[in-house]
Order: sequence, then C-alpha cells, then structure tokens
Amino acid sequence: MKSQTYKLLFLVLIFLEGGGYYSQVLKGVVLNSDTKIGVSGAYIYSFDLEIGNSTNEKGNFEILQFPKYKSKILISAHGYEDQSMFISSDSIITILMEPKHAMLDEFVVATPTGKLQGENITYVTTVKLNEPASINNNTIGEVLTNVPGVYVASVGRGISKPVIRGLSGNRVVTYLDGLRIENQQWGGDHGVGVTALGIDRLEIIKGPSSLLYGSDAIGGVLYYVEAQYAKKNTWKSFIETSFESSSLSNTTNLGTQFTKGNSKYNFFYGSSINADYALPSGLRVLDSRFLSQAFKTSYGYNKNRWKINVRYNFSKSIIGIPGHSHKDSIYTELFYTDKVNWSSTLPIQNITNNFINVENKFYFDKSYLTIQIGHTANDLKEFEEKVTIPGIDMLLNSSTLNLRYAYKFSPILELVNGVQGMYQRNSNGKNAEEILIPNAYTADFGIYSILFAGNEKFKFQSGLRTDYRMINVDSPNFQKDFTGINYAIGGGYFAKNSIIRLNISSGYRAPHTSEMIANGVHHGSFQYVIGDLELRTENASQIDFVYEYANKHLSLIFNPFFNQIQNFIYLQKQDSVITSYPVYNYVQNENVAMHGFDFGVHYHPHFLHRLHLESSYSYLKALNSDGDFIDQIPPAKWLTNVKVEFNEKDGFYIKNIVLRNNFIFSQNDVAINELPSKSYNLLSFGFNGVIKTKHNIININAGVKNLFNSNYVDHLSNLKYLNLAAPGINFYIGAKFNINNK
Amino acid sequence: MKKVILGILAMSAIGFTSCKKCSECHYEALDSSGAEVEVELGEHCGDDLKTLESSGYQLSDGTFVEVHCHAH
Repeated sequence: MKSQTYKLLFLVLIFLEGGGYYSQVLKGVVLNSDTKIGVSGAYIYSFDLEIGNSTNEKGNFEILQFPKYKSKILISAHGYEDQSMFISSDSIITILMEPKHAMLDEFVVATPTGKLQGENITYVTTVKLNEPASINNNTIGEVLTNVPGVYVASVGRGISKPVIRGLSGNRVVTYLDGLRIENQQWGGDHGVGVTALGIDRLEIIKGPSSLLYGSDAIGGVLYYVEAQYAKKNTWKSFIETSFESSSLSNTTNLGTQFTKGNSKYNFFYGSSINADYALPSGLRVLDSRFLSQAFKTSYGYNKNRWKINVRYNFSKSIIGIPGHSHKDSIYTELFYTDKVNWSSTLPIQNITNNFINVENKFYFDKSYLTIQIGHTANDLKEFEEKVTIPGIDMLLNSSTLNLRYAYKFSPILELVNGVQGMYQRNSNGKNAEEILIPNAYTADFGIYSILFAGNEKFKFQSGLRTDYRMINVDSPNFQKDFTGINYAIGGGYFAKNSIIRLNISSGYRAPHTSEMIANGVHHGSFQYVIGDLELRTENASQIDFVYEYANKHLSLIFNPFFNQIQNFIYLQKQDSVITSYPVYNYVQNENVAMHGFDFGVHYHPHFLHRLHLESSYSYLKALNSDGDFIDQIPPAKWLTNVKVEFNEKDGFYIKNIVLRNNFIFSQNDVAINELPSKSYNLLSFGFNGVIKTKHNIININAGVKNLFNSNYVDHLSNLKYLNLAAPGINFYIGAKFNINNK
Repeated sequence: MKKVILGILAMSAIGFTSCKKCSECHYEALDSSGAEVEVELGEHCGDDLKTLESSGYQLSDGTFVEVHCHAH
C-alpha cells in the first residue's frame, strides 16, 4: 500500500514537472489597424488562465507561464474596439486593433461555460459590479431591480431575494465563483447572502439550468464572479464610501490587490450601516434598519499547466425585521416612527456566513480538468422576544465537490463531463425557542455530459444529467430519496449583425427539507408553516428564444420564453391560526405554465455621439392547472435609461449624467387571498465624475432616487399587506479613491 | 503595501469585534387599580442578562415573572 502511494506521488510530481517542458511564453504585438503603429498600454488577458500583461510603448507584449492549451484571450485598449481570439503559446501573434467609433456593448465573458457572452448558446445577462454604477446601488437587491426579467421580493431594504421570471427561493441557485451558496434560501425573509464587495460582475441565467448547476436551478442562476487579480507584478488599492439620505446610510469598502511572481492576492473589507428608511411622508418604517460587514480574501497561483485559487469570505449581518408585532390589533401606523435609529431592536436576524472555496485547474494540450472543493457555513439566528435567547437558531453546513473534464476533439467539437456533489447538515441551536426544521442532512450527487459543436456561424450544444438526492431527518427519523434526469439542447446562428438562439432545457428540484418537515412558527415571515412528507419532485421544461441585432448605433433584443413546471410546490394560506400566527401549508399543483418575454433596445445616434438611449420591457404571466393565477408573480416593467457621456481629460471631468425611469405596471392577476398592486413610476437622476491625476483616479457620484417622492408599495414586498410603502425621495453621494502602482 | 493589508486586517478585526451586549429590562405587573404597568429593572449585561431572560425575575413572594428586554 505504501509503495503504491509513493508511486502515485512520483507520477504526480513527474506530471507537474513535465508540464514545465510545455509551458511557454506567449509573445506578440498589438498594432493600430489603420496606421500599423504599435498600441501601447493595450491589455491582453486570458480569463480562463487569469493571467495577462500590457503592451510596451512599441506595442509588444509577452505573457509568461502560458500553457500550450488553446485559451481565449481578450485584448482591450483605450480608444479601440475590444477583440477576442483563441491562442496558444506556440505562435507569435499580431493583433490589429480597430479605433473605436462607438461601442454599444463591451465584450463580456460568460464564466460558467468559459465562452464570450456573444458566442454563448444560452443567453447570459451580465451586470458589472466593480465599476461605479450609473445610479448608485446600495444593495444587490437594487442592482437586480434594474435587470429586465429579474425582480426582488423584499422585507424592507435589508432583506431582498432575487426573483427570476417569477421564481425565487430554492428555485434560484446562487454561485460564488463555482461555489454553491446555501443560506436557508427557502425562507421568504432570507436574503441573497452575498454582497457586492470584491465582486467583478454578476451573471444571470434565466430559466431552468439544472444541467450545469444541479438540482434546484429551475428558476435560474445568479453567478457572482470575484474581482480579477492585479496585473503582473503590480498592486492597486481603493477606498470607497457613499451616503444615502433615506436611511442615513453609509457604506464603506476598501481593498488591495497585488501580484508578485506567480502569486496573486486580493483583500477586501466592507461595512454598511443603515437606519430605518424614510417614507415619502418623512416618517420612518420601524425596525427597517440593518448593519452588515464582510471580509474576503483570495490567493491565486499559476505554474506551468496548473492554476489554483483559494477564496475565503466572511460576512456578518444584523437585520431588523419590519412589519412585525404581537399586538392584537395591527394597523399601518403601528410601524411608523419619527425618530432616527440605527441601533438594533427586536425582532432581528443575526446572520454569519463563512465561505471557502479551493479551485484547482490543470491544462493539457487539448483538455483541462477542474477540481473544486468548497464549504459554506450559514449561521442564522432570529431573535423574536428575547435578546439572548433566539427564536430560531440554525447552522447550515454545506460541503461541495465539483469535478469537470473538458476535451477538445477539434476546434469545433468539445465534450465536457462533470460530477457534482454536496453534503449538507442543518443543526438547531440548543437554546432556540422554536425548531422550524429538525436536524437533518441532505446528500446530493449529479453526473453530466455536454457536447459543444459548431463553427463561428453555427453553434450547437446538447447535454444530459442525472441527479440523486437523499434527505435524512434525525427526529422524527425518516429518509427519502429522489432522482431526476435533465437535458438541454440548443443552437445558435451568429451572423455579423444578428444572433439567433433557441434553447430547450429542463430542470429538477427535489422538495426541500423545510417543505416536507416544517412544523412551527417562522417569525421572519409571520407564518405558522406546515410541511408535507408526501411532496413529489418538481420538474420544469423551458423553451427560450433570443433574437439579437446590433450594429454600431443600434442594438435590439427580443427574448420570449415558455416554462412549464409540473408538481409545483407552494405555500397556501389556510383559514386557521396557531398561537396567533396564520397557518400556511406546503401544497402541490399538478402543472404551472409561465410565459412571457423581455424586449430591449439600445440606441446611440450617429449625430449625437454622447447620447445613449436604453429601454426594456418585461412581461410575465403564470397560471396553474386549475386556471388560477400564481402567488407572487411580478407585474410587467418598463425600464428606460438616458445617458450622456463626456470626453475623458486630465484633472476633473464629468464622465456621464444619467436619467432613469422605472415604470412598474399594476398587477391584478393575483392568486386567491393575494392582494393586487397599483402601478408606480420611479424617476432617478445621477452623475458620475472623475478626478484624474498622474497615478490615481478618484470617482465621484451624486444623484437622487425617486425624484418625485412617489408613494408606492411593490407587488413583491412582504410589507404589502400592511400597506407599508417603499423609501421616498433619496439623495446620495459617493466617492471612490483608486491608487495604482507598478 | 504591507501597511494597506495591515490596515484592512485591522479594520476587519475592529469591525467584527462586538461589544458587550446590554439591555434595558422590565416585567409586566398590575397596579393597585388593576391596570397593566411595566416595572423597570434597569440595564443588565452579559450572563446576568441571559439568566434574567431564561429564568425570569424573582419577586419578593418567591414567584418568578417573565422578563422582557430590549436590544440597543
């Protein structure tokens, strides 16, 4: 046995050392396509290998430790159109950069598939989070409300849950750079679990995506991509702070990123403090205050054919739960206050998250292997009536494993095989007053295979996956097993100005432990919840069509879809009350059909180079097999942005000014016992400025949200039944000080 | 650069260190006219607060009453 171990170790060492012979230097030159003069300061970056370098004054560059594996690189330079190409280190390349006329959409990488968004068969919506937003976003929830087809179910400002095409909770899976985030997302008052700190961008996949993301991803996926490392042998730091008037809130983040040799490091810390938010009347919503802090660090290392990333994330939030009272008579004014208060009061959520993720990637000539091991620990305490004894105290430990092997048979044919596993344990604290979900463990295992084929014009993908889930509950002791088979098939036509995509995909979701065995008070949502052990697996099938057109001045997108979910699980309000809480039972409907579309246009007139007009309209309808509407289905929304950009110069200059209008339509297609909601209009205005010095850049922004002080209650707000409105007029100001050094 | 990293670590350490939890506590009683009143017990902290919330407050006649405390 011992000799076998030594043999294996020897083989691994030979393999790693052997990689050195094939590790190369990628060399090339970047030229202006018109003048053939070298472009200095162009950045050549492989998003797959996470390495890159800039060109010198003659346009020459070299990237060390670039394996022979054919990797996609992005080339960007100020004043030029972005470019991308596949390249391996056995060639010296010449890149011709076309001077930029106007760019409607920059190149964005869709991380899960490792392909550019414009070449991906599944349409991926990308939101940049590492740049100052056109109009300041204080929370991830605010970011999501400005994405077509995506909504937010909220409890005040501190708790927001993503809703993708009408589906949320367990049906939307969140990933943080390959690590599946588990944070009791079944609860209506349990938020996203990830902040924007140290995040480069958020990628959103709408609709069933079980093939790559496993069980539960039948509504869609939120995929957070961590910030890139600094350029080779450089460091950069930042400190940013912002203030908002409605909650008298302050958010401060700081970070530093540096690389030394083959090692790369990121460190970030952020905190946010928010008082009770102000209504249009000037009164405040009691207990809508919240406080959050996060620390995160990443370490990356590249050597020959091997890449490793170790990421750690720690966050702590103390969140007030507004709209909560034990009084016999409940009325809206009970939750108003004229005092400003930041300090915590009951009821309250106290959430602590620890995430760790270790990713190893090995590159071969025609293939790569990814081994990813992660662990998330989510500690959720809800203090209801006592400050030292929690009403609910649950610790959710989830360990995950991802293996993926991709082999390129030829430039037009690639096969990806993968295995995903998760072991999850839910434990209740000994002092908790209530046990909503008993101690239990869940084991998930899935295996999949996907084939990608196609050339530059036609692309095709198809895949199959099988999953197994086992749920084992301590008391009452029982065990349940579920299996599922999923598929996805899609194709795309990629012409010069048009892209057509058609995808048919399925999703599967085994009932969550909470849906089967819950039997108790959930204070956060003010419900007495009763589960059902006989619930069956949900199965979804979606047809998704995307047509995109783009030239230098106009881009259009039309994205209709049809999603059918069998055995749809939902909470149904009963006519009974237990210990003064209304009773909700988990029940199942045979078939729910959802259909809708997103339409978007981005116009940049030739005669007004500085002007950008963007508008989108999203529509959704959902009916169950009895012909009734479904609870919590968002109304249609019409989003419009008018942005004027200004030329860059030294010293101070205004980068852009933005006018944004969100019109949310009324929702009268409501479920039994559900309240309809009125339409509302939100106008916001903001400007972004830059102070540029020789080494540093300071971004400043200011503006106002809800300019007309509209009084509105969103259809997906948990406070709708109390008629507690959203924030009124909200002024903001912020600054980000960037320090760059070589 | 080391100073920046140390600064971030120091900020994180300070930020995540919570201070001792203290709360104003009271119990509910009936006054001579039969009306419900709150009897203030003052500020309690740490283990004392925990014991008060879990065991209640002992009245002079030996009985225990439930105590309500407010986080701040």
